[in-house]
Amino acid sequence: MNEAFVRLEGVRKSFGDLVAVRSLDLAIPQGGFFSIIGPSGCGKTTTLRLIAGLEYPDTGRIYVGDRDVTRIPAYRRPVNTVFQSYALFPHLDVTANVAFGLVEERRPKEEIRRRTAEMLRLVQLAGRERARPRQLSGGQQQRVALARALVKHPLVLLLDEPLGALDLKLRKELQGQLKDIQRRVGVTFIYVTHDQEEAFSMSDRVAVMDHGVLEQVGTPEEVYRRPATLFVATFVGEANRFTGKVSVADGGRYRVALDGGTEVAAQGPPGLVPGQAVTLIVRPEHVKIEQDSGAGLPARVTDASFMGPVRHLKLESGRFGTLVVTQHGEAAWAPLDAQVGMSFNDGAAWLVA
Amino acid sequence: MRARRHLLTGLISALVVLFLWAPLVNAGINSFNRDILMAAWKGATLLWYRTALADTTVKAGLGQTITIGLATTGLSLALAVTGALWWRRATARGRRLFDLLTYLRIMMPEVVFAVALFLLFSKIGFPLGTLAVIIGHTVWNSAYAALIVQARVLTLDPALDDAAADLGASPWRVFRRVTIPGLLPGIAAAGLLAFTFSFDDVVTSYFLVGNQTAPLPVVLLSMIRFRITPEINAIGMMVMVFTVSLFGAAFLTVSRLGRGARRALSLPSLADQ
Amino acid sequence: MGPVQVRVAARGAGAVKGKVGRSIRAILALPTIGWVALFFAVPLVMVLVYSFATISLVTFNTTFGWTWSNYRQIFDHLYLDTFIRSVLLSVSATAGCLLLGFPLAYFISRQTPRRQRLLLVLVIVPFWTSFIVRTYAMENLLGPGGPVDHLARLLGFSQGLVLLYTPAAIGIGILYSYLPLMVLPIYVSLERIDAALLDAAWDLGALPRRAFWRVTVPLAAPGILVGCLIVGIPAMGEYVIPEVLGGGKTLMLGNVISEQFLSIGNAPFGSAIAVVLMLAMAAALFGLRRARKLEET
Repeated sequence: MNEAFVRLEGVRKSFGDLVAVRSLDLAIPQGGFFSIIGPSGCGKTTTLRLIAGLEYPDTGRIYVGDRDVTRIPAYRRPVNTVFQSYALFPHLDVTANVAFGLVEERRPKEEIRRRTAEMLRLVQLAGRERARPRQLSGGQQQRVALARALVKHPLVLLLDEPLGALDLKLRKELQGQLKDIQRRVGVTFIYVTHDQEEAFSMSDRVAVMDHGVLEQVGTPEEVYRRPATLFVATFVGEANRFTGKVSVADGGRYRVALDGGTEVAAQGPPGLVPGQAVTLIVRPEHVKIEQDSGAGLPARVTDASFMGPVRHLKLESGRFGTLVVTQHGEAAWAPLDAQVGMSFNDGAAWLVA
Repeated sequence: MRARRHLLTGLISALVVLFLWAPLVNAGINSFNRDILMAAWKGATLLWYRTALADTTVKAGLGQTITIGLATTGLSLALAVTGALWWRRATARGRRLFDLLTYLRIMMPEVVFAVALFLLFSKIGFPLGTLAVIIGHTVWNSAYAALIVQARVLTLDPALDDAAADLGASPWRVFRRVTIPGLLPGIAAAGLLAFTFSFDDVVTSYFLVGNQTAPLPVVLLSMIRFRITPEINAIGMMVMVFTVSLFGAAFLTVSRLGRGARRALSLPSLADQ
Repeated sequence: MGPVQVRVAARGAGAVKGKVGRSIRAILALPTIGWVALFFAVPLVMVLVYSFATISLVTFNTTFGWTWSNYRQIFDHLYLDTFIRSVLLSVSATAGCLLLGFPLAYFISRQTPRRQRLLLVLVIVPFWTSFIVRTYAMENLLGPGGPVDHLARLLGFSQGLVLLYTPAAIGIGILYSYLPLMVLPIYVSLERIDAALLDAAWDLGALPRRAFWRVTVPLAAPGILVGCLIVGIPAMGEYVIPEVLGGGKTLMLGNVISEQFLSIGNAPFGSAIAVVLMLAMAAALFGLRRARKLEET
């Protein structure tokens, strides 16, 4: 499998004074479900449009397969897009919309008819061939947009926050369907969203962007467990942060002197040196609470919410600030204002430079 | 991909805009031209403007035009506002019928309407003249005014009426303190437009004025039948500046009517019939 | 909220409710209804009735019968020419407006919003000048010694080109007067087209020219239709332009109507022609409804 099926090298794109993408180097493997996540304005949509050919980079090169497509316009790239607003042609019915790209390829009528019908079956819209876009629900429109792009058998399918306009239940349902379709069809999906959970539920690999810069690329687990930057740590899931300095470095294992006092063990990327300022990240589910405030760091419960499968707690720990804790299962209940002892395992802390 | 050059369309566009402006600029320049034949530029002068302003027919025509304009604006606004207030709470079917009447008045070829009214007046013995012209203008002016005021009515938030009532205002007070102020921009825009349409009108005025003082456009019509004189150019320039200013003012007022009103005005809502 | 929902909501909050409110509100409609009935409906009905009457041009006695003779007279060779000329001039002026107006509207719609406003003002301001001014400005342009004449001489036509008082002058005059009316609805239609639709067309493999014909033009169709109707139909009933630029000859239907009513005194015949124009207008109304339905997509 080609690990760098879609490649962006040194790509930079600005719009007037605004730099949307700065010197981006990104390699996307073939055949999987790849997501680009980040807050609004981070450049993820611009990146997508650059791959689609709807924008040209100011500098850098873009490769799809082994072809340099940098200067090739959108209508000549083997790449298709599912737009955020679906962009269905209002003057054409469902069938004509789906067939649009095939007509441009000058395919014989019979082939168009067959492939269109096949694709409509795949997205479960058989029976609505003659409908106009405005007669369809949001979820149905989204599926037409998907069918329209997929029917051309593109090498890469780009999806620009296609589920944003749908309600939660529908979104989850379609997430499952998208993942399913990707597996069946085998086309490389590149999916853009600001919703980290959505990306995680569908993707094989995830890229995190902020302000036009690529922060990290990896599997969802890698990105969550071993964030490369502070931004990634806080954007992906919740994080408790402790600042401190490295006191001992041993390969990927470190001891860190926290600014608040104690010294703890932690893991981190290789290459950190003693004396280096770092931030310690502890996920809420890794914070342990004992009713005995002597067992660990003393803290007071300032907020507690019962969410069903988990409990969310907020603790005030004095010099370490506010902490968030997630408790699972039938662990002992810590009521409001209770004084508790907080601690975490050595293996639970991760360092970010 | 967006920033593509539009050379051909740009060129055509430039030529078209030139085409639109050239005759007016030409006429404007010639209004200052000392050469009475306007065959060549013979120096700048205000002679023609002085002549025009001294011409009694022109002055009478202007007076008549203004009189008619003010009268028809007042009447048209009265019809438009009452109609719009009814329209606001009317059933969908009522609105459709009312709108049909409005659009018929707008779409009717002016010649047809003018001769029809001429026919009516001559057969019932109603004298042609200033009053007849005012009546005629009001028929179609009230339609344009109605469109604008109705568009403004659409943007009135019914919750404001409820809020006023909740705070103790009787229906009449609600009307005075909430509805009318809300409609004011629409009324202003409609008024400006109505006056300008009336000021500019030729056909209805021509057919209905009979032997009485001709309004300015009709005066101009007879003048340009014979020969274009620089005096006509001068009158034309003054009229042009005046109508452009009025339309400009109306346009600016319409721009302030609010998005809902503007959307309602951009294409006729005939689909609702 | 879309326009429909706003309307329903506006209707619901009644200041005065119940039967009393309804009668008060009904009174509000009376002025308009009354005025329109008296000064619009009645005259037009009269015209319709008169179109079926006959008149003696000697005694000027009108006999109210039910005859088609007036309508048949339109197709009399005397007036058939005028009829055909009206239609032809109207159609060619409309076609000219479309050929010139569409590129302009398209160009404007591709500009930044600020430039769009500027260009629209440039297009509309000539339209704000008095109609009569525009017409005689054309007279300046097309007459002897005018720019067109000079240009022709420059190009080698020794006799120059005086278009004034020819049908061509009327066509050009109509085109000149009505051009903004073609540009605006087309611009509105084009501007409403979602930019993402063009992106989608390109993305799916359509070259820009193909995307233009397959996506842009069909979606601009309502605007094109509206433009053609609000130019073409009124153009057929034009009076001033043929009167001034045509040199006083009765070249178009509007002039014939005027002549019949004001000079000759043949109200029935004039009415018949007027009814024909009204039918053209009715056709236009249907066309506009069609355009609106197209826009609903």
